[in-house]
Parts: sequence; C-alpha cells; structure tokens
Amino acid sequence: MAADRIKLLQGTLDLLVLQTLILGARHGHGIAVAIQQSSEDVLLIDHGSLYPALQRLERARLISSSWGTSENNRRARFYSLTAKGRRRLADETSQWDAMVRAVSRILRPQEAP
Amino acid sequence: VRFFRWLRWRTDRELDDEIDAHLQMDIDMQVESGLSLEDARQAAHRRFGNRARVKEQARERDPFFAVETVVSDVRYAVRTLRKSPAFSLAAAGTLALGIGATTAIFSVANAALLRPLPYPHAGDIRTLRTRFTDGRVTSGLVGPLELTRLKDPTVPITGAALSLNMELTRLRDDRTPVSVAAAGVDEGFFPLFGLPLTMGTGFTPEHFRQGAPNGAVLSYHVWRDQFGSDPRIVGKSLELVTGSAPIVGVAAPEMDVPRGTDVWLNLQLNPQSTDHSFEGYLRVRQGTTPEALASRLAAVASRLGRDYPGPEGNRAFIVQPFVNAMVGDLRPMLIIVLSATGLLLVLACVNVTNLFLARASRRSREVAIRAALGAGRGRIALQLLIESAVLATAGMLMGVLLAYAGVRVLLLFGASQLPRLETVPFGTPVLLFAVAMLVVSALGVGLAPILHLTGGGIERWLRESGRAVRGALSTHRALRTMIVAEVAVAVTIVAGTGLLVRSFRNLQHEDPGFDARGRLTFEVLLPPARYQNPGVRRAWTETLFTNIRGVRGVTAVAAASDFPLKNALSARPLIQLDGWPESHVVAEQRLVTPEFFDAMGIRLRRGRSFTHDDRQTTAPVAVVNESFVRKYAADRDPLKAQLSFGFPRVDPTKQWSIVGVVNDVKYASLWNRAEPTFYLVQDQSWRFSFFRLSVVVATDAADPRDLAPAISAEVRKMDPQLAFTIVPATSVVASTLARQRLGTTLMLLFGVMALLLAAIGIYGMIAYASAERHSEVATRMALGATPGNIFWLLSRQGLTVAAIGAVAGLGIAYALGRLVSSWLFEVRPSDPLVLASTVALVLGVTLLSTLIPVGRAARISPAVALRSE
Repeated sequence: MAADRIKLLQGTLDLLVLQTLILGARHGHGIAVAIQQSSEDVLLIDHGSLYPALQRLERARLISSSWGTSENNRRARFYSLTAKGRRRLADETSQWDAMVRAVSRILRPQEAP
Repeated sequence: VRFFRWLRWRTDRELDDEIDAHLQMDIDMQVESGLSLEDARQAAHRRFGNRARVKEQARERDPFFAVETVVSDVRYAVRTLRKSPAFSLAAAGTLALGIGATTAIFSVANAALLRPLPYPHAGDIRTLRTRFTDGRVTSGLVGPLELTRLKDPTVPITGAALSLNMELTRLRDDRTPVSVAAAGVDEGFFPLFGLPLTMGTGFTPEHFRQGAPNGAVLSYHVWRDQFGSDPRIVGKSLELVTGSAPIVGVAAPEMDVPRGTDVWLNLQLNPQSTDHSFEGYLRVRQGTTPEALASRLAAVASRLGRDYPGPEGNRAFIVQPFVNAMVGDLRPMLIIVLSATGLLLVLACVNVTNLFLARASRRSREVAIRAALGAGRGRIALQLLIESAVLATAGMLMGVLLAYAGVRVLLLFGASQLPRLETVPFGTPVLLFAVAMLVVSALGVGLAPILHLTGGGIERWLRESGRAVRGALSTHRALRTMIVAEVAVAVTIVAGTGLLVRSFRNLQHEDPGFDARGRLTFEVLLPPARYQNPGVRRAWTETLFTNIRGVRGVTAVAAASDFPLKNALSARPLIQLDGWPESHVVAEQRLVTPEFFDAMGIRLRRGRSFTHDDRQTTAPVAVVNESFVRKYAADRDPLKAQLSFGFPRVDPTKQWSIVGVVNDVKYASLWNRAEPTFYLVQDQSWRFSFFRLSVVVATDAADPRDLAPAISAEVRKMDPQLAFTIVPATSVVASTLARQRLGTTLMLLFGVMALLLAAIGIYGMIAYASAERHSEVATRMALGATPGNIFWLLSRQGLTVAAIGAVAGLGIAYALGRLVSSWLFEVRPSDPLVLASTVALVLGVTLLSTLIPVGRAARISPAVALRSE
C-alpha cells in the first residue's frame, strides 16, 4: 500500500487542514485522520508535521484554538476556522482548481473538458 | 531571558500535552480496530514521525523562540569554545591580529584621507595655482591681479583668497627670540575658510586699505602654549623683531591654513600687482561641475594673457581639491598599506577557517547525531555561524584594543609629523569599520565549515566520522585550497615588503651629493629693518664666520641661500645661454659664499670653485652642476660658455662666465633627480644677498653636536634677538625619509605577521593531517616502512601545496609590484633578489612548519598508535 501513497505537495497541507475544519472544530488527531480518510489513504503525511502547520496557521490568524474534551473523554486542543481562514480557503480553493485545470490541460490535452 | 524561558516552557508543555493526547487517541483508535496495545503504540509513533523535530520546527516559527534560540546558541557556543581553550585562544588571537591591524590602518587612513576637513562645506574649497602652457617653468604661485580678475560674476566662485608664508621672529616678554611661522593674508582669507574666531573681531575691511595699521590673529595653539590662554589677549600687542602689531583675535582651534601657521597678519596688496608669490584659494559655488569651473577659469586666463602678455601670457590656472594639497603623496602609501592589511585579514580568516575545518571534521559525528535527533539543516548552520561570530567578536574586542595601542605606537614612530595625523581620532567610523570587519570575518570563517558539514546527508557523516576511514576527502581538499591561498598571500606580502625595504635602503644609501657627516647646519633670519644695508649684512656674516672658525673643532663655515633637502625654495629666472633660444634653458639659481662647496663636501669636477677674489668689481662668474652640463652643454666645453638671466626678462647687459662644474646635489628630495643648477657667489649678486642664511659648519669632532653650544653662543653674541636651532646635517637627510621609514616599518611588521600566520596555518594543517593518519602510519611501520619513508609520505603533500601557493603568490606580487612601481626607488617589481629571497623565506618557513609535525608522526611507536585505536 505504501508504494501507492504520494508525498504531499509543498504548501498544500495548509489548504487541506483548512478544508477539514470547514465543518466545525476538530483536534489535531481528528484532522490527521480526516485528511487520511477523505483522501482514501492515498496521501502520506507524518502526523507530527501537522503541528508546525497548525502553529503557522494560528499565528497567521486563519484558525483559532482552545482546550476541550474529546469524544472519548481526553483533554485535547480543538482548532476552528476564523472568518479570515474561511476567506483564505475560498481563495485558495479556486486558485487550486484553476491550477489543476491548467496543469491537466497541458499533461493530457485530449481529455481536457 | 528568564521571560523567554518561561514562555518556552509554557508553550513547550502545551505542545507536549497536545502530542501526548494525539498519540493516545491514535493508540485508542488502532486498539479499537483490533491491534494489540504494543503494536498500536508502535504504529502511532511511526505515523507521528520525529517528535523532537516537530517541536523544533514549531519553535523556529516563534519569534520569541528565535531570540531564545540565539541566546542559547551563544551560550552553547561559549561553552563549546571554553572546552577547547587552545583552539579558541588561537582562533580569537589570530582574528584579533587581523582585525586589529586593519582597524589601526583604517583609523590612520580615515584621519588622513576620509575625515572631512574642519571647514564648513570644505568640499567646495580648492587650491589655486598657475602654470605656463609653453613649457616655461614657474613656481606655480598666483598674483593679486589674477585674483582681482577671478572675482568676476561669470566665474562660479563665492570667494577667493591669497596667503603669503613669512618667517618672523617674536620677542618674548624677556626679549628672548622665538621664531614664528606667519602668513600674510588678504581680505577674503578668513571668510573663505568660514571658521568663527575663538575671540576678538579679527580683521576688518579697514585692515586691507593702503596704509592701514597692522593687526595679528594668533593661532589657537600659540595662544594656548605661548600666551597661557590669556582671556584678555585681544588688544595687547604682538612684539616682533621687525615691529609690533596689535592682536585682533584668536583663530578657531581647527584653523590651520597654511599648515603650521602660528600667526596671521593682514597684507595690503596692490590689486593690479603681477607679483606671483602667493598661495591661492577658491571657494566654488555649490554644485559647480569641474568642467564648468575649468572653462570659466580658462576664459579669465586668456583675457589676462591678452591684457598683460608679459607676466600673464600663456598662463593657465590649476585647481585642486583642498584636501589633496594637505595630504599630498600620503595617499599611495596609505592605499598600499591598507591593501596589505586587507590581505593580512584574509590570511587570518583563512587560518581560523582552517582551524574550524580541522575541528569540524572531528565534530562531524556530533553534527550527525544532532541531525539524526531532529536538528534541521538551518538550525545546525545557525549554531556553527554563531560559534564563529562569538569567536570573531572576541577577536574584534581584542583587535580594537590592539589597534588603539598600535596607533599610539605608530604616532610615536613619527607619523604625527605627517599632515593631518597630529591626532588620529578613534570614533564612530573606526568602530563601524571594526564591526564590518567582524561581520566579514565571522562569515568568512563560518561559511566553509557550514557548507562542509551541512553538505551531504546524515548517513554520510555517520559513515565518514567512523575511525576506520582516513578523514573526509572533502575536508582535505578544502584544507589544501586554504593552504595554497595562505602561502600565496604570504608570498605577496613578503615580496611587497621586500620591494619596499629595498627601495628604502636604496634611498638611504642614495648620495645626496654632499657629505652630511660631521656637519651642523642652522638658519638665521636677519630682520630687514636692522640689516637693510647689504654692506651691513655682509660685514655681519664675515664677523660671525670668523668667530665660528675660532671654535675648537670647526674646520670650515659657509652659507647659502638654502640648504639641500630642507624645503629649499627654488628661484628659477629666465636664462639665456649662448647657443640656446631664450627660455628653453631651465635651471635653478642658488647663492653661496665662496667656501660653500668645500664646507659641504661637494666635489669640483672641472675648472675652479669660487674664491674671495670673486667680488662685485670683478668679472661675474658662475659654477654649474653636472646635470646642467649634461643637458645644456654636452657637446662643447662648458667652461667657455656664458649665460645671462633675469626675471621677468633676461638682463643681457650682464654676462656670467661659467668657471667650474661641481657634482649634482639633490635639493628637493633624495627621490627626485638633481635639477640643472647654477651657483652664484654672494658678493657678486647684491640684489639677492641674504636676509635668510643657511649656515653650514664642517667639524672634525666625533659628534658634531658637541660643538653646538659654542656656536650658539657666538651667534647670540652677534645678535641676541635671532631665533635659530642648530641640527646635525645627517638629521636633515634622515627627516626627509620619515614617510618612507614609516611605510617600510609598517610593511616589515605586516611581512613578519604574514609569515607567522602562514606558518601557524600550515603547521595546523599538517599536524591535523598527520594525526589523522596515525593508525595508517602505525600500520605501515608495523609492516616495515622506515621513518624515512613515512617522513616523505607525510611531507610530500604539504610541500606540493606550498609550491603551488608560492608560484601563485609570485604572480600576484609581480602584478601588484607593477602597480606601485612608481612608488619604488630604483627597484623593479621583478627584482630577482627580492623575489628569490621571498620564495626562499616563505618556503623555508613552510618547510619548518611541515617538518615539525611530520617528524613527530614519523617517530611514533606503532604499538602505541595501534593500541589507541
């Protein structure tokens, strides 16, 4: 299975973190599991690398955090999107789509929509 | 720092808690999906990755932690450096030498060249001189008429001024004499320089009207030193042998134009005079381009030439920035010395880099472990850089102290007699320079080990630091390059030193054309008021000389209009020599008493010398020097030639017969060739008869200075109001070499330092390389290699590297030598003796510093070395 996994593109981790938070606050482990599951285990991330990213996003005021209690009663830090984070996610998503379209057009001209 | 630590502790704990929770949840999840607790724990940790690195990365993003990191890195660096004191001391000491030397020289260059002159908008001040465009020679001084014409609205200047140097004798309250350097100035002078007076009103426009009273402005140092800073000095009278003048002011402390002036007096000039005896100064309107100024000046000059074809025809103005006039030929010396110190700093950096590199490969294991534990590449690089910065800072602090002390020593050596070096300020520009040197050396020293250590992957370092491998190959390559550079720089500096030393020795042994040994000289200035009558002057001189001849030990006494090498003024009249068109013969005219050549040890080559029978009433005679004959009478018998001269026109009524030829005497400097010269005897040229007398006394005493008191007594007996100082002629010659002596001493110091640094560097590298090969050497010896084999094996590398460096250095030295060749006296940059001895010296030192560690390695006992593995 490991061979099918791909390494994350530089800078895309932030985007994925923001996306997983769109439905509400989550803790670090929840975010890691969510990314892995929704990518159907294709994306390979070290769970550890999530934390520098979370700090980065929090310092940029795209997310905020507070301590709370998890579903199985463990103390955990919950992260949620700020208004600024929501705007950024919208911007980046449309940019991402545009880029994906452009790259695909170049790589596979006959399949382009 | 405590605040940072608390912050760090808090955030660190939070992050730790969070990570613990994360892992726990992951384990819970895995256990739920059926894994055993132990497998779940392992899987969770694997999925999480390097926990230490995550924390480190999180921290690097935090500005508080960035400061905290630097602080703790500095602490760590200090701790590491203290653990190997020999290494740290050697490295910091080397950097201190390099930074100290460059800072010292920079502070001198700053004082002389860069420090602004003390006058407001000093950049607008120019010196003004003139020259003839038709090849005739002039003193280059300017006249009042020229200044009058320059004060024209079309000329882009805001001021113009003149000064005239004068030697005067002041009488102290007890009527004893003291000589003062005076400058007569015109109305524009003080306004042009723009410094406010310390006290008094100074000169008023009335002072410059015809027939106005005299006034005197004292210099600050004379007011302080000779008048005890008298606060009520203004209005008192300055007593001169020639009369008195009321003191109207004390100048600003910084006012020093012309250099060394003690007192300024008001000149009353005829604005239409063409008397070219004045120094000229202009203040250019701000923002004027040199071209605009030159074209306006040229226009004025050509109008002047049209209106006054005689004195002003074919004259052109020359303007120069004022600072050039003050510093003169100090600039090339400072540039040479500054580049030499720059090379020295490079050498110091190379050495310390060497030390670092040698240590770096010993530390590669530490670095590898830190990388494996999660330290990022940037983090390791920062740590290494901080280490070199800590060292360089220590080096800079020591270096600044060294520089401060060094400059004081330099000033003692006589630099203080050079223009603008009376004081060498140690202010902000110098400290900024030292800091710049600190940054340069920290980067220079730190960069190589960083590239070296953070280059390859972790695996490589874990592998290469293993003891079985014979050192990292890249380390050796880097070290070798450094040694080549080091030897090359050492050769360059040593060769440069050699060239300067030879040039200096040539100058010292240069024959000035007279014999300075056993001779005393002094100058007296006869006040015109009391010695107006030439007959009185002549009789006075005769009596004085007769009395001096009576002093035991005196063999001859004579006088001349000026003494060689003593800032001789030159009189260059227009000359008519038969067979030559007018004003194509250029020669200096000097007046002497009959015994002058004998008393000076100047040798007669042909014909006869002057005698006491050459009088006003007998036929006019001249003696010329060999240069004169070579240039103007090479193809005929000079003793049959006659010349006439005069200024501004040749006086054809008086024909002077050349009766003798003497050897060349250098008047301007040892450096310059002797000029064609003709001598006249004092009695035949009353018009020029001396007010200012350069007396030379030849003695047969072992130390002529012993006779000075007796001679002084004779002069004082004749006139107690004359100011004079008796000095040995040898010291006159030596003082003309003060500049060269200073430059040579500095270069010698640099040469020795460069050699030392190179020796240390090479020693360090070879010692390191040999130590690393101990086990290899031991194995070879165990297998039967002789100490001789080992010796050759280990020294070969060092010697090859040194040879390459020497060749490179020779090339650089030759190229640099050509650049400064105009500054060398009778030495070519390819001087074989200098180059050969440089190479011999540097290679000798290299050999020595190679053989010591290699010899030690060759003597090791194989058993001991193998056991230590």
